[in-house]
Amino acid sequence: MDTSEELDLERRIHTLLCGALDEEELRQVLREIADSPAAQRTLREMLAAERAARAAFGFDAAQGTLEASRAALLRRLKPDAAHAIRPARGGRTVGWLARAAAGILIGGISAALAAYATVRVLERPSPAPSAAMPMEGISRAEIAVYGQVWRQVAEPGDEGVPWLLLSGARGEFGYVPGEAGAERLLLVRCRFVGPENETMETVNLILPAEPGSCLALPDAGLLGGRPVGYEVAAGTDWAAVAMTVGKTAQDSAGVRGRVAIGADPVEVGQFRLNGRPVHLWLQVVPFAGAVG
Amino acid sequence: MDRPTDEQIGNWYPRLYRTALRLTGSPEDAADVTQQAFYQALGRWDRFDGGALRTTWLYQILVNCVRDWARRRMRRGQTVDLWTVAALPQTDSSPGDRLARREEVQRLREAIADLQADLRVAFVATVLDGYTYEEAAELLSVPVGTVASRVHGARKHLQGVMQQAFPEA
Repeated sequence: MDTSEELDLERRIHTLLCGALDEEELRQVLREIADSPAAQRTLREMLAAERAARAAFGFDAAQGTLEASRAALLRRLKPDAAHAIRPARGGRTVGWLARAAAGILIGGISAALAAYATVRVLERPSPAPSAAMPMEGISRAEIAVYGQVWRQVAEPGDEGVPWLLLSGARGEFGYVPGEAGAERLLLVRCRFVGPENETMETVNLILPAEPGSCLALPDAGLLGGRPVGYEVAAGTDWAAVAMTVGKTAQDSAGVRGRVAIGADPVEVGQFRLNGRPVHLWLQVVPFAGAVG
Repeated sequence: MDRPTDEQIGNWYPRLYRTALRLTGSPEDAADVTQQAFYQALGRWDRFDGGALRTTWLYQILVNCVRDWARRRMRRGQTVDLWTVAALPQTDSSPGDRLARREEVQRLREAIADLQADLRVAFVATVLDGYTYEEAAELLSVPVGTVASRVHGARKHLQGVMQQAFPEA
């Protein structure tokens, strides 16, 4: 690769990280990264530089404020500008996919953590679930998108059976021990919903689910600037999830719930974050299954 | 001119917020200033003539909002340096992390501050703020290729400095 090719690759990877590639460009860049160790190294270096520089100036600590203020702006714009601001179309998937895919690739390259452990739950008593609140279930279109990501980056390898985590702006990918190829897959969606019914964070996890299996991810996302821990255990026809928010015993809360695979979304519990109630909704579907 | 979708606003927001954060040094002030910039921009959306990228037009509006914010807080005669980076307080979680990490953070901040000015500005616009190379090229009035080579140079320089300072990392 000569210098101008290297610079052009960096430009395209940076655009990928900005979530500003169209679908065709995204496919091309992902293909190039998947096929080229040099491109993988460049992506790794660029992500490392971005993370380190932003962390050095405290930008990572402000991420929660960024997300909250963006959500607040979009919410406030709705009543007055609903007639003018159109709903998102295809671009939404592409922007999200780009960022997630980059994370996934990096996760794959560094053979991200595989924690196949006993469920540990930092649970705090939470109030009884509130009355039913409408939450859309996982659609066929979403499953198709996840399938696209899965096929692009989560090919089974010698390391074991892959799992894939996709939250608002990040994606991670790792392996659990086992023989790849014949596993049963589940798509587990946890959604944190605020008091005004606004989605604060959604965490999607695709994982192999054999009865008795369990996956623990200590850093599955951010909620209000606090790390989200995530543990999933699966049975034959049910899945149990434990979510924790925060790191220290004084500053964390958790919710644990169990739902039937293939059922509609269920609110499994709630807790308070910065004085505001947060509801946790859960849905688990077979990944290859048909959900309407 | 079509009004922006929620998705477009959501996609532009982080870049502008980071610029505001960098200039104000306060997450809350950055949120106020960024939201104000979006309200102003939406109020005059039809006036955008398409002569620039939409993001750089938004950036100009944001910078004006930051200047208004600064006027209310700064002493007379002080001006806003558009490429300054105001560091936020660190929030390391464990005391054990703190010392080692503080050293690394401090060294990296110094290394960024010591970059040759044109490299530093390109690095700040793209890597810290998150503008694309095309957007940064417009902001800095240089060709895209120049942005690419400056960012590349800055990153390699910083990698070298950090590896020299912390060879075991």
